[in-house]
Amino acid sequence: MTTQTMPLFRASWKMMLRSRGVIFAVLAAAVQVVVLGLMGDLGFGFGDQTLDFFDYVLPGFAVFLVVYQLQDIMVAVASSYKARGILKRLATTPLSPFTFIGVQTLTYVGLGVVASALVLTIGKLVGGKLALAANLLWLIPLVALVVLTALAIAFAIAGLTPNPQTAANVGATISFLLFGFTGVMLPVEALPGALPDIVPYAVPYTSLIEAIRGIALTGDSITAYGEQVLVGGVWLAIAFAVAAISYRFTEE
Amino acid sequence: MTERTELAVEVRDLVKVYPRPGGGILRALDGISFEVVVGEFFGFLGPNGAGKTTALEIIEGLRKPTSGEVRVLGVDPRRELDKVKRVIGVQLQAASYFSLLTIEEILSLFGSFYPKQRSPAELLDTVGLLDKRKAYVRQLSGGQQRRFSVAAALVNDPQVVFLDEPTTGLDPQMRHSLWELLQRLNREEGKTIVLTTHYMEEAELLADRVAIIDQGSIRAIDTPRDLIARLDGVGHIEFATPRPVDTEELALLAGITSAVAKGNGEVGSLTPATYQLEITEPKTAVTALLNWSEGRGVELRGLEVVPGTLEDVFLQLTGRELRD
Amino acid sequence: MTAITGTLRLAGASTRQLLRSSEVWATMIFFPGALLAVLWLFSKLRFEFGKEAASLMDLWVTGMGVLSVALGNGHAFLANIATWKAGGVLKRISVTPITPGQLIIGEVIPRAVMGMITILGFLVVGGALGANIRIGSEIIAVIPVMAMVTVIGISVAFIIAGLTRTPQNANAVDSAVSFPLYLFTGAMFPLSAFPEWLEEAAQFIPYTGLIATVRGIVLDGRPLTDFGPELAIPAAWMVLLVLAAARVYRFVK
Repeated sequence: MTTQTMPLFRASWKMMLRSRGVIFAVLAAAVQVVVLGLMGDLGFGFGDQTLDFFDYVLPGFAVFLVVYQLQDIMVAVASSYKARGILKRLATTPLSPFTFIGVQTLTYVGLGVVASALVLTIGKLVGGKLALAANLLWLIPLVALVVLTALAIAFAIAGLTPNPQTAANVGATISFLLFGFTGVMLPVEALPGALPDIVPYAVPYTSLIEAIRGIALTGDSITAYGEQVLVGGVWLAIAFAVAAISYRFTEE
Repeated sequence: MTERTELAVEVRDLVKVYPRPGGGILRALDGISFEVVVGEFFGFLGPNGAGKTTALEIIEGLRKPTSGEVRVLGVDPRRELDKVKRVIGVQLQAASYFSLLTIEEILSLFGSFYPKQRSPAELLDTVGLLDKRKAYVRQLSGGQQRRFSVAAALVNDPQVVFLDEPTTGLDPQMRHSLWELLQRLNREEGKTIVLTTHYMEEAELLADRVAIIDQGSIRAIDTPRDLIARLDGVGHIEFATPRPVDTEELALLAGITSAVAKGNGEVGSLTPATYQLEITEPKTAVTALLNWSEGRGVELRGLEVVPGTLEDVFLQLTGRELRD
Repeated sequence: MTAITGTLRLAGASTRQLLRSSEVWATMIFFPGALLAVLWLFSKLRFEFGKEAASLMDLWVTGMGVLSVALGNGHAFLANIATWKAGGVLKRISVTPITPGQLIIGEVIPRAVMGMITILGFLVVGGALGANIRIGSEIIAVIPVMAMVTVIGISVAFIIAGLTRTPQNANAVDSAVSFPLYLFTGAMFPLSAFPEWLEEAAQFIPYTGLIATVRGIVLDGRPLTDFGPELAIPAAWMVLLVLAAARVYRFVK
């Protein structure tokens, strides 16, 4: 399988880098974080609590800015492969759908992690609060998990929708819901009733964002977030399972 | 089992049934059987919707049959699909390739899926696209894209190549150039080729044997020549005369099996009468006709001998036109 | 057939296609529904900047709501028109007497209507869920503003589709372009939270003035006529973008 995957990896990287959208997405994320950093005086209030907006938001949002764009791109790419018969053509070769999806996904994950690191660094430079501790390295696998989950969701969307236009629609709504409930910008604590306790389990990668924010702000070790990582891992497995079942190479 | 391994493709009683949207079922394939010998150029001739693509895609492992048996080089694609995929090359009717890779990179990538692969440069050279190796697929013309598809079907140096309507939509010049390529692959490289088409001249020119398929059934399998020879009458003669003549008299001439008046031609009118004669032996029939016309003093205008074609075969077997 | 009849026919065909597609459901129901659900659940949240505070719900219903509901169809619409270009539909139309301008206007009309119906519903439901918005005659004044938002959004979609080669590229550019719009137009965050130079620069983005106008009408009850200056820049943009769209969204390369 390795002899099959290396050329596929190389080809996937080439295609990704030649797609101007990807470069644009990373630059856009960087610029937006800078702009957010300019809102020095903004805070969140709910009940008696007040949080500094940028401090609270930077870690999760920096990642989200990269992730949602990669997800959107992957929805478009994956659904167009299906629509244009590329998948069907691949089905006549020994390449397994699992290998294909896996390699495409890992290619984007590599970029996602690097881009997130870049955007976080820029955020720190414009005044964000980031604990500079060795434990920050734990962010790498955590961000990778978030990107992986988002991309698996993208493949699931592409697999479950009949055409690229519907895929784009569904993708946009799901992106927004993830934005709303993963705690990347809106604090989950501000939700009513028991929701703050339920949402981290009920929404993909919310718990991972929580871990990312915690480690980024305090420099804690990942061991403090064992449960969050586990929940995130479960959601990743679910997303991949749905993707593998729905994103078929052939109709039968 | 020597007999088995000489067969590139074996299909027995293949049935494919789909549920109809409104209820009931559609029999896309109604129990077809055929064999393709190694090294043969085999053609499937039939109109759109006949079941050609369905049959091919089942053999390639893209679809599952409802019932029946399929073997490719002795291997059942339902049981050992991976083994089959390694030895076949496929050109689909309508497929795309990655838009952000050059054609050379696409060939290299597809080649990497197989244990054995041919050099992309060599493949591009074979199809006459070497100078376009750095181009993207969208930068190629329609004919070049087809040739590229054929190259992509050869990346693993397959033993059997399946081509689904490879020349549809191409202009005559491109079509001829592609035909030459396919003939070379078959005659010089010894590849077994299974091709589907709705173009009669393509099947006649390229195929060693042709299966005529219509509405999910194979109506006949034979060499093009023998299929045509089976026709009642081998072609026809067409001509016009300044005044009507007796068709019964014409039908009695040597080499002519029947005579039909096609045009009006009333006595004294300026409209010529036109006739079509079904013939068994062109030379005999023409000689007899010319002798008759000289004897009767009848002028023959626009005399044309039209040999039998697979289109005539199709019409006779199915009662329908090949192109509807 | 005059140019107007031709355009109206196109608008009719566009309406029919719209009603038969999933775009309608996504734009009028799913996306606004998701947005309202999020805002309602986060209704306790408020932004505090300096001494001022604004409830997330008020701010986003009138800001993000206006923008994303009016532009929500932009995403799918862009996928559509980019696919037309890639799939040869555009090429086929180019051999008819239809001009690019007519095609674009034909698409704009039903979408503008759809956008306006949706935003009115959105504001009414938002108000019912707790946003402090006035749902009276003020709503009528919002209509022309929403029309401008829609026209601008669609023109931008045509420009992106015209400038990009494939639907994938178009989608990527669209995502990259849309999100900053939410940041810099005051749709998501109060502009007064930004440094002054940015606040002034933001006035030149087409949607900024439009969102400020909607907020002024619906949150503060001010009349439409109060917002001449805020509407001037968007109006100029609108004209420019429509013209640019007609030039850039070419039929044949």
